[in-house]
Amino acid sequence: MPYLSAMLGRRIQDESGQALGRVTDLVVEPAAKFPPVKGIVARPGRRGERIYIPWSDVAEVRGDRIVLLRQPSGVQADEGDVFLYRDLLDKQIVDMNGYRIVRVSDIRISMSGGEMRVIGADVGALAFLRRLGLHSLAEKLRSERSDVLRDRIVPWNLVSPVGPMPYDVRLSVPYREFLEIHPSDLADIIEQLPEDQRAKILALIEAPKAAEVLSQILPGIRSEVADSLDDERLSDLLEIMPPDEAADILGSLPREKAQFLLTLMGIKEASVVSELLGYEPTTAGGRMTTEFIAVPDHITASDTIDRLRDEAPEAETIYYVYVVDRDGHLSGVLSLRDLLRARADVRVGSLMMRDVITTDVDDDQETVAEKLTRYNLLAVPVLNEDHVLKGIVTVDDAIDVIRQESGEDFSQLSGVPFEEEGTPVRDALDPRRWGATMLAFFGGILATGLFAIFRSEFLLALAIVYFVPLALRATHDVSVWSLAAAVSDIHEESTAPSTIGRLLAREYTYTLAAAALISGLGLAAGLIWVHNWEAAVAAAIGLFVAIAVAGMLGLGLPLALKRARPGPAVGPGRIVVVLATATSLVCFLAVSDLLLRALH
Amino acid sequence: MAERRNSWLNKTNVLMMLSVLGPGIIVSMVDNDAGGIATYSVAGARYGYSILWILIPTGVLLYLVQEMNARMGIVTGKGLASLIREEFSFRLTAMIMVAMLVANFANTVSEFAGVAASSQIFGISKYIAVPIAAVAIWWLVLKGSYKVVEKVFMLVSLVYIAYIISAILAKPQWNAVAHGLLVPSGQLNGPFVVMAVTIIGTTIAPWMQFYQQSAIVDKGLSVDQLVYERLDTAIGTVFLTIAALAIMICCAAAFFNKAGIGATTITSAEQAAKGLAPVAGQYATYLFAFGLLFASVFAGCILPLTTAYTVCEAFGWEYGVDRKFSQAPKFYTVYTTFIAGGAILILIPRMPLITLMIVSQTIMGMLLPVILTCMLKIIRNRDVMGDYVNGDAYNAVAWIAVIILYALDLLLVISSIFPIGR
Repeated sequence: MPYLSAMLGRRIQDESGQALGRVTDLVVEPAAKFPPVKGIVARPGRRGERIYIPWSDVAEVRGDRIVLLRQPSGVQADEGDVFLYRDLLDKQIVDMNGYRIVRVSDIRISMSGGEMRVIGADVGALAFLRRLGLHSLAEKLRSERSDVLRDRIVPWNLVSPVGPMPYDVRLSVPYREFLEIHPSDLADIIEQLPEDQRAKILALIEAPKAAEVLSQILPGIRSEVADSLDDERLSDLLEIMPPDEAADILGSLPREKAQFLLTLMGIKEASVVSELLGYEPTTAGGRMTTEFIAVPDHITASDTIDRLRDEAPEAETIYYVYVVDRDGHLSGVLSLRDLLRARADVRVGSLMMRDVITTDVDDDQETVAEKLTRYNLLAVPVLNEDHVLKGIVTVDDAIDVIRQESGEDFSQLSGVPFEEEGTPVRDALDPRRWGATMLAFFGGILATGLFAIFRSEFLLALAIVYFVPLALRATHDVSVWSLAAAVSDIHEESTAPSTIGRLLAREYTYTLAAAALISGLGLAAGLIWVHNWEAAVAAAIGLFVAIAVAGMLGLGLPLALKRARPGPAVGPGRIVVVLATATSLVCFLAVSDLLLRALH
Repeated sequence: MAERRNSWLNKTNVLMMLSVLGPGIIVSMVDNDAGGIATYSVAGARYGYSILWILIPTGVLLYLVQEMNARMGIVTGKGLASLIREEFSFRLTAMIMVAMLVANFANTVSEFAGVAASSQIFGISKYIAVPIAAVAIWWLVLKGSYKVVEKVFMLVSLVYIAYIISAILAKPQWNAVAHGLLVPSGQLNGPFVVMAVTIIGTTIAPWMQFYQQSAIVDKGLSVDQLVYERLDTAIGTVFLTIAALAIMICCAAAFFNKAGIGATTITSAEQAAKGLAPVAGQYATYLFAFGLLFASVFAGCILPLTTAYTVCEAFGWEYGVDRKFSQAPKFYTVYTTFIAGGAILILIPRMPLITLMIVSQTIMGMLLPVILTCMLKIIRNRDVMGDYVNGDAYNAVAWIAVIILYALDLLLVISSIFPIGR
């Protein structure tokens, strides 16, 4: 319903039900922000002349029909008006430097109070389905959690043309208009731009907003963007950001650069951030924020509420007030509820709860998350070894941790790579799950097909068949391990390419050793059981090659995918494993076949 | 007169012309790919010199079509897929894209089959030759700039000289060649008509329109270079015709009406190559196989490239050989998938290649009229083409040509579904 694709072709009728034609275009004024539709272009019949109907002549949109108040009054559209279908739909969107980004596949409209407004250009995958007429299928598949199966809207103020536009839609990103968009939407747009454009766009935005946008960009892309910003600018942004986010960004930059940036920042901010930088990212210290509310024990409840009012905009949570002594040692905690219920002149020292659940800066993030969930806390204070309050970890940080950890565990069990915030799919109807199952099926069919193709080789030496389960099992195993190694190595964003290379080389050495071992044992078993040394040798060498290839693909494909799609998500791991296994099975069959023929 | 020639043939103009040359020549040379060589070989072996004349009208038709592409590319600065998406319905675009994907993939597989077959003539295992070829062309486009890639392609085009030498080695009767070329003669029976139609069908293929236009856009030619680009197209068409003639002449001289060989035994390019040895010597075989090898490698690169151009244009994603992987990831992903998929499929023994080829040929046959109709509509649209729309006379000729193509095409599709005389 709220799309241009669904409006086109609708019937138009007058009050009495007399058909007047079908919608062929919608007209808006380009300059307005989220402009209302000011008119409809209709075509009475297949051959009829197009007519313009001003929106003021429209009575209502009833069901899938548009009902008019009166016969079209003959008013014409204005000179500079934009015809959505003619001028915008299917047009190329390019950024300000002429890079092509995507085409306008649909246009999102919103209906309210008898008015239709244009929200923006839809460039998502679902728009393709709608354009093919499959509106209900598109609705059914929609899922906000999916990257692909959701609408991607480029806001109208970004695509609105200046003057008539026979050609491409140029994303005009003047500084003023950017302010209107929500930071996370902006971060979304920036992620989709080519690498060298991202920093330029960010440079156009006013500092406080730019800081927010920067912290919303996906971590993998974010460090690139940060690295290409100019140092002054970046240090300004880091100063404005919450210290824990600034520390995350600095931690992903090269060491020298991070240190230099710290010297550019204000002393106060820099000291907080550099302290945070000292903690391992996966510990309580690495996860915590320093923006909590702490008060001395001698002030009164009403003074505390005043403090709360002052500090609320900055603080991560206002539900807990921590009480500390002169040296910063934590002595107790108050909840917002306690404060509100207390008499105004009571000292917080006598109100507070002394038995606080705390955690140490070096505690593993999983421990912290467990504490938060077990005790139903909104935040847990983090203390150093001297019992000084250093920060708090809030429950929303813990949610990220739980997702990430369960993703990691799941990934290690199954060989399915995890995404930053991905949890294994549980919904029985989720297409991704069935996709994976079907993939397994096609992998199996592929293997069976290979058997059919190589059947004459089996006749040549039936012994080869004995080795097929071993080859399948071993290549699958090796490719899963290699995949896991590659994924975890490239997941460390700070790791330099040369280090990745070294890690992978070490992993591959292991693969080759495993290949040698398995094929050696296979050869021995073959010689003992089948008494056909030709077949055994051929199969053993085939095994070696197959495992070597499986390892190479398991390591190489994720790297290739990573290059193709930057960001922490590593791509379809199952496909990688199926591909690697299938290819290595071909290698096994082909190599042993060739050798058998050579030996015969 | 002398002065005028001087003013036209000055140094700047010649340099300009040389710098424009490329898309037209490459598209024509790639057209003599594994499938093309097979068709020409079989035609020569079965019908001798009498079928040669068909290549001349085919060349003219090809020039007409490709010239329009060159003009559209230069004037609009957009590839054919872009124009189709912008000027026609989304459904039509989607349909064309799906058909192109399937046909181009099948064709890519057959190019790697050509690599496998010709490398085996040289005694190199396909398990070695195909991966090396695939990696080499992948690397070339990934790392090379448009200029470098184009130069490599132009250089590879030279291997078609191998066919001319093969033709000479086969010692044809040149007066019969001249007669067959200049005097149209035909047989009114099913197999001959199908052969003729197949020649035209393999010579004028849908991917060529997409490739040449996209390459022109990628190269960034401007309107004042149109005259040179037309020249480029014309040179390409002439080269294509000469190379095709050489293959036909070679096979006609070696196999036509020879006892024990000919119509029944020569059904593919590698059989033609092997069969040349007893007639024209081992070198002729090697030359022929050498030509086949390079033609296949070359086409195995261009077809995935065309597909990548087409898909990216239709969806509006960044593309271009000059871009880095990170700048145009989808472009290179499509390209890589096609090369990897084609190379892997061909390494699986006993792939039903013939079926694949028939599928591809049928789809392309059905696609060509659709694409040509789109082209003729776009090129008459003043909003898109400005002053460079087809003139009335040119348009009439183009429509007649296209209608002839439709008719032949229909025959081709019918004949690939119900094979006669194969």
